[in-house]
This record gives sequence, C-alpha cells and structure tokens, in this order.
Amino acid sequence: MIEFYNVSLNIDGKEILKSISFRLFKGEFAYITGPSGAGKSTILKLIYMDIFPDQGMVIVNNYSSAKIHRNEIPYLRRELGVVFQDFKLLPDRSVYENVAFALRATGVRSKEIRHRVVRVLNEVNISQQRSQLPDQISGGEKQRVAIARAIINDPFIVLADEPTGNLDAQNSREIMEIFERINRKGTAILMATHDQSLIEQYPHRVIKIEEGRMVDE
Amino acid sequence: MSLGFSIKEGLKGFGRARMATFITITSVVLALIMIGLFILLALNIDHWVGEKRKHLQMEVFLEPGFKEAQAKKIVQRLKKLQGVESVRYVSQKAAAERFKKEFGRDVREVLGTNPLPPSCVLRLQPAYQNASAITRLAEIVRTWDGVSDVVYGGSLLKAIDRYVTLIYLIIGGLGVVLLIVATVLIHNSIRLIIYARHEIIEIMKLVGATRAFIRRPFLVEGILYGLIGGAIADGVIWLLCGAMKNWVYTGMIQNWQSYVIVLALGILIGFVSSELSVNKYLNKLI
Repeated sequence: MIEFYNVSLNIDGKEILKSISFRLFKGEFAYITGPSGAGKSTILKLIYMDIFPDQGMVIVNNYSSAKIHRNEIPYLRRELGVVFQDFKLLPDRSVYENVAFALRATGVRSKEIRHRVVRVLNEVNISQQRSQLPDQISGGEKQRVAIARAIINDPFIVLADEPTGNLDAQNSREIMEIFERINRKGTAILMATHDQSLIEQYPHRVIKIEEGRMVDE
Repeated sequence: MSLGFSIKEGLKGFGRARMATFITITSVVLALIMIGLFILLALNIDHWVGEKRKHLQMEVFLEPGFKEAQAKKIVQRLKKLQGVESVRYVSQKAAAERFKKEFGRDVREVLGTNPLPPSCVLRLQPAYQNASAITRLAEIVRTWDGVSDVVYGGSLLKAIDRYVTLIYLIIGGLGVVLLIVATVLIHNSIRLIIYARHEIIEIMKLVGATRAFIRRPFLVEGILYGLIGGAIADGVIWLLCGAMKNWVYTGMIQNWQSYVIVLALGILIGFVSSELSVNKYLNKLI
C-alpha cells in the first residue's frame, strides 16, 4: 500500500507539491493527471524515494520516507517497477540483456535469470526481438521491454511516468492493454499521464494535480 | 551478489569509453614511470651509500716499536668493543709491505729504517657504519695506552649521513606528491567515465541495486586501469633502465621488488581514485 500524508515539497524555493494526501491500495489502478509541470512525476519520485518531502510523509509498504535509511532504498525499489516515457534502456545491450540486467543488478542467479526473462518477455509479447538492440526496435517495442524490466521482480506496483507519451495511438493502446493485464494479475498501477483520451478509454481512479495541489479525485 | 557480474561489467566499461580509457591509462603510466624512476634512484643511492659504508674502516695506529704480544691484547680489547665486526692486525713488517705495494718502493731502502707503526684495521657492523657511531668509537680508542692515532673517513661519513637523509626526504616527498597528483588525475578521468555512464547507474539504482553493487564494476575498472598502467610503466622503466645501464651508468642496479611496488601502486591508485569518484557521484544520486 502507498500512503501520502500532507506531503509538501519545495525545490530551490519553488513550491512543487502542497499538502498532497492519498492512499493507493493493493492491486489498484490509478492515474495521476494534470498539466505538464503540475508535479505528477514528482509524486512518482517520492514513491521510489528518489526525493523526500519537506513536510508530511510517504509510506510505501513497510517503508516510511521519515525513517528509511539510505541503505534500505534499494530494497524498497525491488518491490516497485518503474516505467518512463523515454524508456531508459541501455542502448548497447539486447532486449534480453536489458531485462536480465534488472535481475543481475540485484544479484539473482544466472539459472533463474534465463527462466524469468523468457517468461516476462512472452508476457509483453516481445520475445521475438530478444536479441535485438533497442535501436533496432520500434518505440512501442521499447516500451514493452521497459515494462518487462519493471515487472521482472514481481513488484506489488508499477509506477509509469507518461508511458505512452512517445507513442502513437495504436502503440499506446497496446501498452495500455499490457498494463491492464498486469493489473488484472494483482499488480497495482500508478500512471502519470495527461492523455485524457487514454483515461476515458481505460477508466480507473484519477488523482488530479494542478500547480502542486490535489484538485480532484 | 554476483562478483562475476561486477567483473564482467567492469571489463565491458573498460572497452566502452576508449578515449577516456586511453587518457586515464596514459596518466597512470606517466605518473608510475616517474614514481618507478624515483624508487630506482633511491635504490641506487642506497646501494651506493651501502657500498661506501661497507668499505669504511677505522685504522688504529699503535705506538712504534709496540711488541706483537702487547698488540694482540689491543686487538682483543678492540674485538670486545660494541659495533666492531672484525679486527685485522697489521704489523710493522706488513705495513712496510703495504707501503711497497702502494708506492712501489721499500720504505726501509728509502729511509734506512721502518718508521711505519703497527696498526689494527677495524670493520664495523652495519648499524655502526655511521658518522656518530664511528666518531664515538674512535674517541674511546684514542684514550687507550699504546694508541698513537685513529684514522677513519669521518668527513665522508658525515657528508653521507647529512645529504643522503635529505635526498631520501626529497625523493619520498616528490613520490608522495606524484602519488597524489596521479590519484587526482585518474580520479578526474574516472569521474568523466562515470558521468558518461550515468544511464547505467540510474537504471541500476532504479531496479534496486545496492550502492556496493553499483560501485563494484567501477572499482574493477579502476583496478584494471592501475594494473594495465602499472604493467606498461614497468615495461618502460625496464627499457629506460637498460638504456641507462648501457649508456649512462653501468653500475646501475634494479630489483624485481621495485617493479612489484610500481604495479601495486598502480592498482592502489586505480582503486582509490575510482572509489573516490564513484562515491562522490553516488552521494549525489542516492
């Protein structure tokens, strides 16, 4: 479960978030919407504890932003999956290696890696391209690889920051279908997006942010 | 966590940023060549000084006409002195023979008599081969009955003691400065390499890799820079030594330990520099 209690954040004297409070339950699917610069990505960063609130508290499962030690952050992140608009794939590694990297970097044994990577590549329909480099595949395929990497550790939630922002309508729909599938299997999804048509097509709970404040839910 | 992964990533990183790798290794090589040459310089000075000290002797001249039996007693007394390694008695006759050998003429023929006094030649233990110890010893022996004079290379010893310490201090100081300069240079190069690879660090961070895990490939890379830089520097030093031995100073000595030290320093510099760089970068990130 994710909880935000009166979270406020200032960066370089500028108010980024003001008194944000919400809860996200296990297996939920929710959007964070709002115009660019509203603070959507900041909320995601607060969840994977890349940044910390100036006031209030963020709780992610058993971890609290007020108490977490620097050494615990990697273990918190292993419980999450993160997907970005720009995919953040390693350009010099194949699709397979990009996904396997998440496991190697957390010390999973080689035998187990192969089995898990193959399974997850099949899950996002990208196994045919497993030996190709990111430059050799389309944007939609890149995002599938990024999703595969995000879910390979069986996270309880996937945080997606404008995952369809760089994709055309067809690819966006395909990516949304994958998120829906992942969600149906019990993984929560928190997606930052400003694409209203997507929200209408795939309706879920919406947390609306404007100028750092929650304006509607 | 898999050490194999860290080594593999370190090796991959090594081949990725070729220009940065080249600059880093060149910095390591240049710094280590200088350090290695300093080590060899110190080694040669030490060897030269050791030889000078080893051949240093103190000659105790006895009263002319001293009987051999009395001389033997002096020899026994000298042998009991602390710091004396050996004592060789040179009789009046032996002194005359030494004179003839050195000057080509028999002193008895020149002067009609042998005025050369008998003497005792002392060699000292290594710990006593310094100016203060030999002077102290000479002062003791000079007071003995039957001793007319004590001669030793005091001024040479004093010069050695004074200047060699100074030279060692200068070499040591320059060596430390070079080590620091090399570490800073390599630290900067590795920092560039790390910035160039911020993507991989960011992804490692996102997927939950620990700080130690993220650091390890960079440490492997740093050690590799040091190892390769050290090996190249060793090769260059070996060639330079060979050339110097042939054309500049034939008495030049070198030992394998110096080469091992250069290699070990290379590894140490590489490790410390990358540790500093990656920690600094990660502190900003996490």
